[in-house]
Amino acid sequence: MSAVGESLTAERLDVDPDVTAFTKLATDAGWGDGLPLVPPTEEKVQAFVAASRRYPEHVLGEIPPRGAACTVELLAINAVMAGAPAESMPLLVAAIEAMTAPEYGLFSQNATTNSVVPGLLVNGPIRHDLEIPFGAGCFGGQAGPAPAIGRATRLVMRNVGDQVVGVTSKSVFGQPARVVSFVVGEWEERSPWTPLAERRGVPGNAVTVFGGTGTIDIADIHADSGPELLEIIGKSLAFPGTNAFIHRSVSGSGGDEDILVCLPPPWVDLITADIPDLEDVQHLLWMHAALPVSWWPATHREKLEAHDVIDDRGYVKLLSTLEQYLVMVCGGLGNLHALALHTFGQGHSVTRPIGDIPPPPNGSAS
Amino acid sequence: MNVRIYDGDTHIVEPPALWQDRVPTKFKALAPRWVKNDDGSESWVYEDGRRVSPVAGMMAPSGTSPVTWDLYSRTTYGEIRRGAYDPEARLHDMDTDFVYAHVLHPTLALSGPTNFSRDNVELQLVCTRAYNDWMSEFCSTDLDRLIGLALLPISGIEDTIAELERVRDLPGIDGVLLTAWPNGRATPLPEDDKFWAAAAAADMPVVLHVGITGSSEQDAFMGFMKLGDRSLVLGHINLERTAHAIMEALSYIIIGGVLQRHPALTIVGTETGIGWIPFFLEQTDDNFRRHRFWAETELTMLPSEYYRRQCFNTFQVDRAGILARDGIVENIVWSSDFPHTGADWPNSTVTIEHNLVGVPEDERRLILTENCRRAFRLA
Repeated sequence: MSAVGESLTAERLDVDPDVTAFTKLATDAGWGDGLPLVPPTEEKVQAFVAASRRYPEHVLGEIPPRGAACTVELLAINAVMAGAPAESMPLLVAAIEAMTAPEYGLFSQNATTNSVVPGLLVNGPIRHDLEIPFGAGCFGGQAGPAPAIGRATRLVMRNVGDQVVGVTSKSVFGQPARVVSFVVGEWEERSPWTPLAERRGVPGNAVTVFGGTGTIDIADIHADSGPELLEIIGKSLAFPGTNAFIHRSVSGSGGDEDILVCLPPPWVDLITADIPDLEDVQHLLWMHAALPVSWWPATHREKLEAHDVIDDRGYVKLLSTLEQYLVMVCGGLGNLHALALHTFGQGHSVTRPIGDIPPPPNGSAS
Repeated sequence: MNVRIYDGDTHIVEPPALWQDRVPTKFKALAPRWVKNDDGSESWVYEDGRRVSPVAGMMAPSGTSPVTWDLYSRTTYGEIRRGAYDPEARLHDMDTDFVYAHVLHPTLALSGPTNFSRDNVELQLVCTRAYNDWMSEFCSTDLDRLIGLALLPISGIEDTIAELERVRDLPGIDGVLLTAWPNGRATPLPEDDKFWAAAAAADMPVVLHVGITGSSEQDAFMGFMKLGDRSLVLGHINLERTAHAIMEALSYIIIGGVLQRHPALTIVGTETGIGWIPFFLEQTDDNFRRHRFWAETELTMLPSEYYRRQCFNTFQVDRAGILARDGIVENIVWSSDFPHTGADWPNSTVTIEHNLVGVPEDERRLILTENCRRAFRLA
C-alpha cells in the first residue's frame, strides 16, 4: 500500500531529552558511535521527513549486511541523531539510493576486512546551500554540517544495516571516515572541466557515492609542467599493496574499480596550461599509474603473468581504463598537494540526482 | 517550503455536545445527541431516535494507513484525532503538517440541514445556527489560521438569506457553504438570484463542497451502503473525485448569468480537483459560441472569463490539473481534506512537492497561499 496517509511508525520511547543522557542510553543500546546524539523527537523527525520530499515509508533501498529496508523515516531518525540539518535530507536520500544501487556493491563494503567507507561527492548549487566544503580542508577540518551529514549515513549503516564492528563488519582497522564519512564538493567554479556528476550523466545537483579506503596525500615541489605533474601523481597512485593490483593478480579483471584523484586549483592551472582536455589528463594518469612487474616477488609475478595483465613495456597498469580515474577539482590554494582515494573494488561509484521528485502519487494506491 | 500554506478544504468533526449545548431547551430532545452505548460503542441519535448513526470509523482517519480503513467500521471520540474537534489540538496538527491555515468544512453536517431533520424546518434552523455559532467559537481561537464556513438552511430562499446575513459578522466565519441551491432544492430557480445578490453584497464567498449536493445523492449513498456491495459504495465515493457535480453546478451558475449579474460574487468549489477545468472551460466556451444566438443569453463575456474572474477550485492530488494549469493558475487552491481520507497528513508538504514538480515559485505562491487568501478575503 502506498505511503499516503501514514504518519511515523517507529516505536516511541520516553527518554530523557538531555543530549548527554540520551547519548548514553542510545550508545548503550548500540545505536550510537560514541559521539553525542540528538534525541530524535517526533517533531524533529517529521520535519526531516518533510524536508526529504518523500513519504516516511518510502523505501530508499536495502542496507546490508542485514538487508533491512531503509525508509525515509529511518533515514530521518538517524539524520536527526547525527545532528545533520533537515535541509540535507534530499542529499541523504540521493546518497542512500546511490549506495543501495546493485552496481555500487554496498554489501561487500559493509562486510569487508578492508577499511573502505562510502563517501559523498557533491555537485551543483546545493554545495553552497548546504555548505558542503570544496576548498581548503574539504576532506576534514573545515567547520560546517558536512561531518554530520556524513555521520547520518554511517548511523544508517549501523542502525538499519546492522553493520557492527567485529561482528558483521570484518574491517581490520576501520578508519576515521567510518564515523563521519567524507562529504566533499567539487570546486566547480575553479574547474575548467565539466563537473564530475555531469560527466557521469547527471547535471546539476547530484551526489556521487564513492567507496574510499582512505586519503593518500601526494606532494610535489619540483614539477614544472602538466605532464611532469601528472607523471608524479600517476606514479604515486600505484603501489603494490592496493586492492586494484590484488584484483589484477587474482582475476585479471582487476583494476575494475574507480580511483578518485582530487586536484587543487593551482595544480589544475598548471596542468591545463599544457593539457586542457580532461581525457588527456586521465590518459596520462592511466599510463603512469603502473608498476614494472619485476617489482613484485616471484609468487605475485606468477599470478600477474597468469592473468595476462603485463603490457609491452613489462608494466602492470593499476586500472584497466582511463575513465576509471575520477578527477575532481577541490582543495585549498596551497601549491603542493593532490589527494587520492583508492577504493575496495567489487563495485562502482554511483551518481544520482539530488532533489529528484518521484512521480506524483496519482493512482498510487498500491 | 518558503510559503505559508493555506489549505482550502479541511473538515472538523462535530464534537459530542455541539447541539445539546447550544439549541434552546425545547429542541434538545430532537437535536442531534451523542450517546455512549452499553457495549462501549458510540452513536449519534437524531430526532429523538428517529434515526441513529454509529460514530463512523472513517470520519477522521488521518495519520493512519489506508490498509486499516473500513467505511463500515465504528470508532469513538476517544479514538478520533482530537484536532478534529478541539481548536488548540487542531493548530498543533497544522503545525505538525507545516500548514498555516485551514478552511473548515463540517463532517456530519456535510450533507446539510437534512442531517438534522428531513421535514422539521424549525429544527433544521436551530441546529444550523448552533453549528455556525460553534464554528465561530472554534475559529476564534486563532482567527488568522482557522477559516470557518457557515452552513446555510435549505428551507427556502428567505431562510438562506437570513442566515447568511446573521453569520456575516460572526468572528471567524469567512464563507458560506451551500448544500442545496439557495432555494433549498436540488435544482436552481430564478429566486436564487436574491441570495447571490445578498452574498455578493455581504462579500461572502459561496462554497460548494464537491458540488451542490442534494438529498437524492445522500439517498443513493445510503442505499449502496445498505446493499453492502463495497465496490458500489466506492464507485459512488469516486464521483466526488471526478468533478461531475461541480461541472453541473457551474454550468447553471455561469451560463445562467449569475456571475454576469453579480460580478462581486465568488464561488469556491472545494474537493473538486482541477484537471477538469481546462476541458470544462473549453467546451463551455465552444458551446456558448455556437448556441448563444438562439439562446438569447445575457452573457457579455465568454464563460471562461467569468470563471477566471470569480471562481476558485481546490485540489488534493491532481498532477493532471497542474500540468494543464495554463490560464487557471490564479484560480486553483491546494487542499488536504484533513482529517478525512483524502489527506496525507502529516506529509502534506510531500504531496505538494509531488504535485508541484516544475511549478515556478511565483505560481507556487498563488496555489499554496495567495489564491486561497483572495478567495476568502483574508486580509
